[in-house]
Amino acid sequence: MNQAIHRLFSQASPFWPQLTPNLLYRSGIYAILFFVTHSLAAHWGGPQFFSMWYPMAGVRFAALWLWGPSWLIPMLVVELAVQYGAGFVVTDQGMVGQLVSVLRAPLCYAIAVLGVQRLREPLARDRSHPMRLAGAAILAPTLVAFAVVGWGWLRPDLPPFVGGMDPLIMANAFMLGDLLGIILVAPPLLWLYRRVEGGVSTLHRPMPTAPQMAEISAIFLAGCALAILFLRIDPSISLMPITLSISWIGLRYGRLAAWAALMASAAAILLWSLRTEVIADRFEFHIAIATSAIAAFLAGSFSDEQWMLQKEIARRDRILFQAERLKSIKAMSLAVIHDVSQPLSTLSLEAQHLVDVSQQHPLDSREVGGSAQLIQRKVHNLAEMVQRMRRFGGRESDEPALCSLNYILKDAVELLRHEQDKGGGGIRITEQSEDIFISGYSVELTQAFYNFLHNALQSAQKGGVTVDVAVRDAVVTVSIQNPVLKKAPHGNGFGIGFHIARTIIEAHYGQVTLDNRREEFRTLITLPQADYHGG
Amino acid sequence: MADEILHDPASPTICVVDDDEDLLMSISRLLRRSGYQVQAFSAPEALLSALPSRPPECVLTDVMMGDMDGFRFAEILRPKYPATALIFMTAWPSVSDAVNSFRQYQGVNYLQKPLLAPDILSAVSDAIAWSRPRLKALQKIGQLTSREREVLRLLSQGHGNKQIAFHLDLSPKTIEYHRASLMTKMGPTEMTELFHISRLVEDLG
Repeated sequence: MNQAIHRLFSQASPFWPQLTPNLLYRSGIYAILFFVTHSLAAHWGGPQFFSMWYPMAGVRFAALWLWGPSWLIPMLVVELAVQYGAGFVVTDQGMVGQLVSVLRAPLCYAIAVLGVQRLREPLARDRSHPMRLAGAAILAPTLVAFAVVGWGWLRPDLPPFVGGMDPLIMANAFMLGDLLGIILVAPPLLWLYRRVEGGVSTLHRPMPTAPQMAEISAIFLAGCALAILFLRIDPSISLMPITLSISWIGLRYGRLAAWAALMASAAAILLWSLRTEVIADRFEFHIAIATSAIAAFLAGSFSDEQWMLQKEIARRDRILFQAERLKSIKAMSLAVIHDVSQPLSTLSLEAQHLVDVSQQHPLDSREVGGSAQLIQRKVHNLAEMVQRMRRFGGRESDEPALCSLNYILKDAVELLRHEQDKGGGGIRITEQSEDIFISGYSVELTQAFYNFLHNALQSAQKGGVTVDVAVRDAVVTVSIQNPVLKKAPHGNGFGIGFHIARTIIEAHYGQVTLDNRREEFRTLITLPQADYHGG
Repeated sequence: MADEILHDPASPTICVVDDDEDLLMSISRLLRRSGYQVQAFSAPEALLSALPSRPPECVLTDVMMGDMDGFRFAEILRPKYPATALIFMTAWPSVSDAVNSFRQYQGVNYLQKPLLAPDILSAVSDAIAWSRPRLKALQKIGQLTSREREVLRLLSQGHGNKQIAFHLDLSPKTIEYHRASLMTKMGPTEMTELFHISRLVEDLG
């Protein structure tokens, strides 16, 4: 225990602040913001009852979220200094009571924020994980509410409880005020800080476009119109359409849009609530707007989290594509090495032969002729190979172009030559009377067919793979068939190759269907046929 | 010169196996021109079904071929021709294949394509230097009875007549008789050479 305390307050502890000009600057800014927002809240909440909207909560939350554990101690010091310096502290509750009332909220915030941040490593070096931020934003005021209830239960003899204030009502008021303060103030502060400090992360969602703004406005105005209508029918459900509309906006366009809609509605409702003198009425308004705020903020956070995860998945997909591409490039380079080495060996030996023969007198024309023919044939083979490689890595592969299905299939089979030689099973392509063309990227399509054929070869082993091509109504169907083994082949990957191949085919407006029969497995790939003559 | 050697029945026999017929022809021509008797096969199965009665000094085989690869071919060939030198050729070299070609398949060389004439000739020459004494030893040992082979093995390990008699549970006189018979069959051979032959045969398993 002693060791733990020692570690906590040692210089190696993450809670130990380094006294730097930056820390003093942050403390100064925080003190000013604390004073301004606290005074603002006191203006409409009264000197002891800081409800219903407490913007300081957002400032505290944002600072803790951004600056982490090392901000805890400076924050406590600044809050104590401002509270005492500005005379915000209620002095008739004894020293312990004063300290508790000042430090309770920042400590609860620290537990919530730092606890949520430490739950797991962030996806990126970015603390703005939307759902975690939302979780902490709801947890922090909830903890404060529990602390208020606990203190009221422990010391009912101290103000404000001794004056008749019910701890539960006070806790609710704290929770509402803090919750609204956090949800309305923290997001713009966090956004602003990141803009000023280090630009916007690539993981941040872009601003809505003009048509999206129009949609957001339409949804929001529809919610407001319904709210006004409901106010006449039943005031208790009047804010329901606004809650639904801003949640919808949040789900569609994320936190920023939800927050903007929420601000618009909250500003109107909070200003309206200032007119209300009865605490119960004010509560009702604030509970309604807090409900909307939680729903909208969670919806927006969920949407942003989904967006970020989709982006992350897309990034990983790109890496996988790259890995697959490298795999097929490796296979191709090995095939090229093999194919080049064979004729080069012959060329080298025949050249040596010609050298030897040329030293003989008289020259044996039959010997020379034989070697020359062989050299010619091998050079022709090499030239064909160069043509094939040029097609594979050519400049036209950057743009969609007309691709010959025949060439694509032949290239894929060629890339798999080593696999075929190793396994014993071959690939047989049914001859086409005329070539079929597809519009797309030949490299990607070759990659896709390479993956399909590779899987089929693995599965068939010595059984052999048959490829049939058919065209009907401008749709090309490539059927890859292989016999089904009773015993599954040795695990060779995680099916990523198939996933990638299907993605490529779908990107070419095609489809992949699997037909698993008792004795035969069939992969059907359909692709739209391109009109070769029409271009 | 080449023709003289070509018709010399003592000139070494090389079998070449490669599914690329042009390369097969080129290698065969090169070896013939260099004085070897060459038998060319475009598939390992063809050599295994032909199996010349006189073991060739060297088999030069491609690794990657159609139905049977060079290593599988070596597995089948090695028990039939224990003293024949095997040279592997490949366009797809790998460290593991190179190691296996020596350790597992008892090859004497692992050539990488593209091939050069001097490399082939040098590898074949080394292979013949390896296989010739072994073939000769096998031929001589083949004339011995199993008991005579045991006596030769123990002699090469440095045992005397009495010790051999004790090991084989025979009388020293019988060992004397086997030893004399062994010397007669092996011809005028130095004792040290006999021991060398015995060790070579042991190496072949």
